[in-house]
Amino acid sequence: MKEKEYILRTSNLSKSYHGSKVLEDVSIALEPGKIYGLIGQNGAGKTTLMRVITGLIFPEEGSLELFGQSGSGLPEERKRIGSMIEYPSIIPYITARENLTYYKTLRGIPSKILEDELLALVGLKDTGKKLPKNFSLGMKQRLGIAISLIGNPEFLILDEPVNGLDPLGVIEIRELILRLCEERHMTVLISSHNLPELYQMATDYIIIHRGKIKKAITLKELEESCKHHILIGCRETEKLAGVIEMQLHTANYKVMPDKTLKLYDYLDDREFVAKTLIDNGIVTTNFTVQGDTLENYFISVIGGEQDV
Amino acid sequence: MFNMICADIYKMVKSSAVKILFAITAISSVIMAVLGHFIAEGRINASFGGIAFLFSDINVISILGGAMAGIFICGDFENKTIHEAIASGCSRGKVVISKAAVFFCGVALLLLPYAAVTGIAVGLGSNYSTGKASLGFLYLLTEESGVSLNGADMQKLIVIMAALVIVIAAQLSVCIPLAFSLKRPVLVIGIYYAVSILSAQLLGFAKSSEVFDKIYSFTPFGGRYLFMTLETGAWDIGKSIAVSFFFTVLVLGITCGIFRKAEIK
Repeated sequence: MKEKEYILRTSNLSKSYHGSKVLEDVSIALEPGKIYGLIGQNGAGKTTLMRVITGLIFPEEGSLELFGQSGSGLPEERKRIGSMIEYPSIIPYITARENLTYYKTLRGIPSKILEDELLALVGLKDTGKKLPKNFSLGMKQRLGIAISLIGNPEFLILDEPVNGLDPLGVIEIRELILRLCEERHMTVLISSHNLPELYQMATDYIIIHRGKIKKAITLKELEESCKHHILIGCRETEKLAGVIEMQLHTANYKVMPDKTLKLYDYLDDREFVAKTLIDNGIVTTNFTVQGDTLENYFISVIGGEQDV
Repeated sequence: MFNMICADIYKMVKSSAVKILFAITAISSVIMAVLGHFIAEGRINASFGGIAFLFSDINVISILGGAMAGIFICGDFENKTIHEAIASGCSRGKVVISKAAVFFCGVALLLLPYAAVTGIAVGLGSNYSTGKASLGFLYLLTEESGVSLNGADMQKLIVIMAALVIVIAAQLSVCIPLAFSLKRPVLVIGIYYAVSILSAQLLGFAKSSEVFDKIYSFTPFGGRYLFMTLETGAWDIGKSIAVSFFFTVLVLGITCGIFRKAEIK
């Protein structure tokens, strides 16, 4: 059986500053072609984790594997990564195009049209001689993303990429990331405080809290958890399922391992559901509407501490 | 590494700060020569010798060299270009060597006006004096004052000036570990200026202690490396280059050691 391929795999990564743990036993595995949303409060360890992955800081314990390779340095593997961590790496006194030329030269890429392509891709083709020091925050973010895309990386690490962007800019960057992932089969690790925005991009979520990975969940699992439904508790689940199919004429329900049932229809007609169950002799132990946003799900995972 | 050097040279060419530093050394070198000539000709008082020294290569470069390190190395930490280089797979050792190579190119660029002005001034055969002790290109200028040069002398003059650039660059290599560890241009400039003042004091002390003189001559700050003239023998020129080379290698080795495990935030 073929072993699963991973772009990144960390095992028990730990890091502390001044005696305080900022990463604790962080183990994650990223598969190719997926967009991973890294969610956490301020100081949860998102940026520290990204810095460890890019080799800017060293973990005290644990190991890191990139593109199936482990060891110190990983220079060849890191050439396949593009990143923008915290704020963009921009030289303020040369133009956006010259910035791209600088980084293109740094990576040894001979292309003569790369600058134009990237500037057009991030919507900065008309900046001309305007210097980045005079750019808005959003324009700087766009240039930072363009820099991170130099060399057509297979793995893109973006720390708060939509920070400072206007609503239209947010949509453009979202569409760009989705397109890159789809067309180039790029793997993206993206952190953002804008959870509704992240919800529209990510295929998987990693929730980090106080340096620990609290939850790694796929979009499907998240939607399952967040999807609004009527949660019905009952001792006779099979009978309940039969009544729902026969009387309510729907199969849009799911029986959970704890024998509760999630009904995804009739959310606006709960009285009718309740009456039908009573008329068919179903005794319920629970009858509540559940379902949440990513924000509320995140808060429930980290234990109710809100600061995202 | 070659890519990084090319990229940094591209950045240097585009930097207006470097152009300003170059303009300062160009103007200072001309002022140094003009004042030296006027003092020698008696057109101005010998007390202007102090001002001539103020504009001399050693004094100017001890400030601008630190500024150059600040622009190239500390600035790269601020702009996060070093972060980007490391994140994209450049080893820390390569980063240090690449930055050092471009820094030395920058130092050579700043010293170029002094070499050109000294070469032209000596070639003209005019008289130059500051009436005070001098070092580096100013020393060469005043010592070769009024000498008529033949072709061989001109060649040797170029070799000596190249050796002087290498010695001064080796002295300034101290700025590299400072910049990599402190990451603050102001601190690098201030500390290096203090180092240059201290080195001058130690040069005085070396005259009174033979043992210290020998030890100190293993660094580009000691010996007679900043007192080269057309009379200086090939052995001494070679020694100045060799000492500078090994000192620079040692300093870069220390820098790599400091930076190898440094956390980049």
